Amino acid sequence: MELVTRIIRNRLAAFGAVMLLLILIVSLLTPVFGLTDPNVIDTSNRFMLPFGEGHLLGADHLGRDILSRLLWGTRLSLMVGVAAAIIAATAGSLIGILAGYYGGRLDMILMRSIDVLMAFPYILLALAIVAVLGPSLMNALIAVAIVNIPFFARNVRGATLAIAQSDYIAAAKLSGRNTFSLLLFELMPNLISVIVVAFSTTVGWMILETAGLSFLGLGSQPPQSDLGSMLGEGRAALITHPHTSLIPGIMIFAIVMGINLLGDGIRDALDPRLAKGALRRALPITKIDRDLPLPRTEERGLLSVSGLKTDFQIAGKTTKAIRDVSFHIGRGECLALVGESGSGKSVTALSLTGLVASPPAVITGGKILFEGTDLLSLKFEQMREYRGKRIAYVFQDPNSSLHPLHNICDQLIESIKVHDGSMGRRALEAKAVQLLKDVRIASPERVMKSYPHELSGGMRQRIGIAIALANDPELIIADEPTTALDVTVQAQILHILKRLQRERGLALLFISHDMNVVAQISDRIAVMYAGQIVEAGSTKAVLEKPRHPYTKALLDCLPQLGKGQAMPRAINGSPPLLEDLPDGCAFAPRCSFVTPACQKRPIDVNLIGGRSLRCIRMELDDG
Amino acid sequence: MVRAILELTGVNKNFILKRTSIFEPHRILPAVKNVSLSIKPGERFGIIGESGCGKSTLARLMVGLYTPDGGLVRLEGSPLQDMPASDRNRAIQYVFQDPAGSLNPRKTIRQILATPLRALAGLNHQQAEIKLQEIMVAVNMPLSALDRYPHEFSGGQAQRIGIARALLAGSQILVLDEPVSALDVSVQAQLLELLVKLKEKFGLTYVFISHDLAVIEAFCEKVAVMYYGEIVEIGRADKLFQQALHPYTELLARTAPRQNADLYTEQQFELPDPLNPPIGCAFAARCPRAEKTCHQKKPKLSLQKASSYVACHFPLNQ
Repeated sequence: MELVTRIIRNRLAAFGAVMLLLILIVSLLTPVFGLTDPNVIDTSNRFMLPFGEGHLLGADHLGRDILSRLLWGTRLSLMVGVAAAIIAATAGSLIGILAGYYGGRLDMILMRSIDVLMAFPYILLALAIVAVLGPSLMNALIAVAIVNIPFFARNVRGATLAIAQSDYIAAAKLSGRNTFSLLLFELMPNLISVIVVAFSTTVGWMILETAGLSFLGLGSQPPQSDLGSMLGEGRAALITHPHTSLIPGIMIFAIVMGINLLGDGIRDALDPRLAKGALRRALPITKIDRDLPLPRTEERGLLSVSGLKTDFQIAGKTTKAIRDVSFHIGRGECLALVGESGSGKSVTALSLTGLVASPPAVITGGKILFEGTDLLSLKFEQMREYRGKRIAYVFQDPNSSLHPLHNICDQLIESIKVHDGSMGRRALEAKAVQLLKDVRIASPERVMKSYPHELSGGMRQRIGIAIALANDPELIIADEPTTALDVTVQAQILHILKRLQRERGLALLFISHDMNVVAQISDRIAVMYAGQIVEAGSTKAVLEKPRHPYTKALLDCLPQLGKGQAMPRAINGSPPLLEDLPDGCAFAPRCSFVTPACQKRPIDVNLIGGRSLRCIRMELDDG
Repeated sequence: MVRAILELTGVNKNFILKRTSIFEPHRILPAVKNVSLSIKPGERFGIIGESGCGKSTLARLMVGLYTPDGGLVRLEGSPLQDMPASDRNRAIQYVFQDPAGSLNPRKTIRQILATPLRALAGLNHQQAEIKLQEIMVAVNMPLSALDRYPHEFSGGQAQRIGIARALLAGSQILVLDEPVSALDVSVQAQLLELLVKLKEKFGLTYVFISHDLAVIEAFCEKVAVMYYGEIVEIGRADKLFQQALHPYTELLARTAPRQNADLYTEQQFELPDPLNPPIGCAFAARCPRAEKTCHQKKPKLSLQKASSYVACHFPLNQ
């Protein structure tokens, strides 16, 4: 149902659908219209023009009624085209599924045969098939179907390959499915969309191809009419009596265009990437629409964030991803932002330089002071002076931030050049090598010539850090930089970051879900829950004596090496939905110290002994 | 001596890689090399190692998703390869690392969970329905979840469903391949609690695969450490990381992040090429204790002290 509305929302597709529907209805109802027999010859009416007596669309070279021939012909052409498409889809899908699922030798034989089939120009192949079988509409149908099998086979094989490797197919095997039911009940449902898309985009072609064969006299045989043969018969009188060929021509055009517009619509609606709105381009900088007055911020250190609020506005609904977040980082300091997924730590990091995608994101409040400049007041061009240059990012997956087709040398040089165009090639290369040495890469000359896929995850992350260092940033924001790495490699990366931070006086914003990792690198910790910082303080103090119940619970549920077989204590329940936050403390429903007051009103930040806390209980305790 | 419920003897698995050109021979990647293990009924057996060490391949060999190229996997004494697939699936099941990826996106949870009940347990519709309701209660999921689709669930919920699917086959042994790695810490703790509860309720044996030392130590009784397709050490989980015998185990234990210890990192090294493995010990190039023998002769996994095995010429207790 949702699919139908999505297709209809696409105006061109809706137009195509309406046109096609009209043609379909008319051709279905043709027998009940009581038209004159399409094959009755009446030479007295030869080439009668449209709107003539008894012949609404005129008559052809034998005086036959064009309207009747057109409608019966359309009916036939549609049937033949659709039948050919169904045959091609069935046979092609079957070949594709077998080749993709079994692979190996079967795949080789099937796909090479398909390649051979594809090596012939399609019309030549169709001609050859019809030449062998003899001209008739049925044989034209078979020829068109065969010619289109490769398209389906290739598409379906590709999709099958990916699905056959998936865990859920393995899980179904382990659940006792035999191969036949596995293919039919587990694989097939996931292939339907691929087949439907292939079908809807080719059926138009197949109607054209059938018409083409009939036009050449190889398809429908006289006196039977289809659109192609009508065109063929009208061709002789193209100059003198154009209506005899124009009318079937327009009909073919209308059918094929209708099918193609609808087909494109179906493809767009079924493609998961397009469905998510990937075609919509994000603004170069997050949309800012701040509530006034802006908070008064005292500047502390290099970066001071106060009252930051970021919303996601999707389909009229507002999700508060970040709610009043304040923190600061000094030069040479490492602040860790800790939280579980959905707590808003990454959105906070991306908000700093306006990198959250808009739409749907809007920054609705707060101030971000970087060396006295409010980053949220900057235009895109001014922001570029900060992004990547003074504030650099290191992401979790270095694979997605490195370009697979350029070698490391080019990528390093590119990131230096973007912000400093004055250096020559030689100087750039020297600087790139130096950067690799800075991240402790043993053989920088060799790595310079490598491509990302040739390097291990740990190496790629070093390159990611080297690129971040390219313009001597003052602040590095590292978003889960070691999460995808093995422990031994993680230790190396943390070591590099820590050393750089010390040696260069870099400020580091380290985002992680892992308290153990954070403990080893950060000077201060800010713990996030449901878009707020609930506790912040020096790393040592927070770990030794967590004061917010959530911080404590988070530490308790993390197993500690060296504690033996001590099972971690789980937190009951799950985090609140950001679209539906409670009025009071967001952690209250899961908190073991909850009081009625916790759930009445939002909890403010309190500063107690160098610790900032969003909790009522702590207020009471330490009053 | 209790008889092993799952036993591997000299198991090998090679992957044949695509040729880079037709003039070259196929390249062979030995993923699991000569692995022998014995797991007792009711045991929580951990397997730890870094990415690419072959632990997932080993797990898939245990449940018959892969067939070994050499050696035997025995389930309660009988070779896995000789068992009909349905018997095998009734005896041993697998829980996948990516919880959402192991559920068919086009099927409801009811359809997914009913499959093992119909195909393996041979239950009719009504019997299956009763079983489904029981299992949902056992894994702490609401019954309403049965009629929903996989994408509607969080990672933790999807993993509960994955565990339910494995349990419905009626098997006594679950091979859990990084079951909590993709989950948030609080959800991870909930899932570990659930696994403990289920083990008691159904009398299960767990093979628990993870790269997280702290999780393994908390959850398992016995641990095997893997490096480059081989087992380098087996020992008790509570002792292994504190009194490692193999230098690689020690390295893992020292680099694992802890709140109460400073960052430790080893010196630069080059990892061995898996396609062209060294003749001697695979860890020798990284090992601070390595001597000439280590590069020339492969150490055998041998008994060191009470139920501790190590494959090292110069184990740390000597």
